[in-house]
Amino acid sequence: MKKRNLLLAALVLASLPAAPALAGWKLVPHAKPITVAKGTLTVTPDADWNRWSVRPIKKGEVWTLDGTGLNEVYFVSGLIVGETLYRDADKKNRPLPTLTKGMALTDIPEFFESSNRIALNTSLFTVTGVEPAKMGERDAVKFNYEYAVEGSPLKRRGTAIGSLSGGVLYLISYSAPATHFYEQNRAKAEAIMASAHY
Amino acid sequence: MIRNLLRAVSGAIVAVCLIAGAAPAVAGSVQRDGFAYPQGQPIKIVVFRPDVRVGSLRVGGLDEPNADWTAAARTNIQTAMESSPQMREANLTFLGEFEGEQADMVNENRGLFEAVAGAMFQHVTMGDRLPTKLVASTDPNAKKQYRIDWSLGPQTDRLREVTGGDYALFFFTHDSYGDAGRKVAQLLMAGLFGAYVPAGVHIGYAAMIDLKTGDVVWFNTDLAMGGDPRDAEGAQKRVSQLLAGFPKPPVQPTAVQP
Repeated sequence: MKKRNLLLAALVLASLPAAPALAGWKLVPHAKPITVAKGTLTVTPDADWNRWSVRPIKKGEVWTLDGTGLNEVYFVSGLIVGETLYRDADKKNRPLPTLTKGMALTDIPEFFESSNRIALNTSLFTVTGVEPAKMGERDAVKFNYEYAVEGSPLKRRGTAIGSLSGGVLYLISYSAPATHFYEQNRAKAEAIMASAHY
Repeated sequence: MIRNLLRAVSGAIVAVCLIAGAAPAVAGSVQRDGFAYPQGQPIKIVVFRPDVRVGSLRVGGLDEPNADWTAAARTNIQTAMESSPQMREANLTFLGEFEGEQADMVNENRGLFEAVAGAMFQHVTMGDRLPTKLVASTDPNAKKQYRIDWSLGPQTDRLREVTGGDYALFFFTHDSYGDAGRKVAQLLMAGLFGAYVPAGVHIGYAAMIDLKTGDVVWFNTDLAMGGDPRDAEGAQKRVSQLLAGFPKPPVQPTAVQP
């Protein structure tokens, strides 16, 4: 009986949401090159930012100015075939798309969009513009996007730049509420993107 | 983009604090540095309809909205606010529903308030400080001070034009009550391991916005938000907690009769 209870309790425990450790933030000083997301992607911000100790994936990193719901820069450095842009929250029922072999630069916006539709559980995600760009010396693609999440009247906007080298993905995105916050900090985010190289 | 993750972490921070039985650095009610009502002129404070959500919380953490509970809580909280002595004393103007383009604008700012309040909850109330908000000091022994400078943005000036208010009060409450399965899990965890599983979610934010600038001039939350807003008495308790620390406006000057 005791064994059965313990087994039952263990099952309940396993089904409860995990409580991660308290988040923490470190200062990213402006005008100093910094390597991000535990990879080779390097940027030089023109303003001070805050770097989150919580990583959505091992090769990811998050920066913010006022809170991630208000302005967020997400870096991905060195994503390889078979890996996802975010952590799978429900791999069995709603798996995130994985980076596939032979993916071209022009496939990055679609990969980003489909990843976010699942990660944010929203059908309201649209890529609004795609153009060629450079990430340092390498070819890249830059695109804008708009989205909203269920239960919130807030419209959000973003801009991102992605590059592929030997099938390995490097990406920086900036997301913020469309009202006030997006425009307020867009130049700071674009300065990060313009300084990026790997 | 990492909003869902952030929500989970914020919830988890609360859960961790509750599990640990340790009270976190709760700031409760905070005011923007240097805030003071302008003196010698009439001030109009408007109150937008509170954003109220009530649902049930499953064992696995799924938060399921309940339309009947939400409707009851919305009515009860609105009634409690209108009859609150604190609010009557402050001579507040309660706003009704908006229509068309104005409704869209109000909703967008309401959503923005929720996002800003969530950030302030994490980075002010919970003490998860952002280094860029640290106030520089030359005194190495000085206590660290962080700026409270969140803002909804100057587009709130349109709300000022529409409502005639100088300041606006926004309220958000979210309650999620543990369902039967969660209560069983709670008892099991307590009985077998002495561990605490939070029975539900009870979050509430209140803020006053300077409509000329969009600046948050007063913010209040409570980690132990009490009162069940599904009944009238509980709603009164909730409203009283939401208004704790509300900066009382100065006595309005009376018009001089010719």
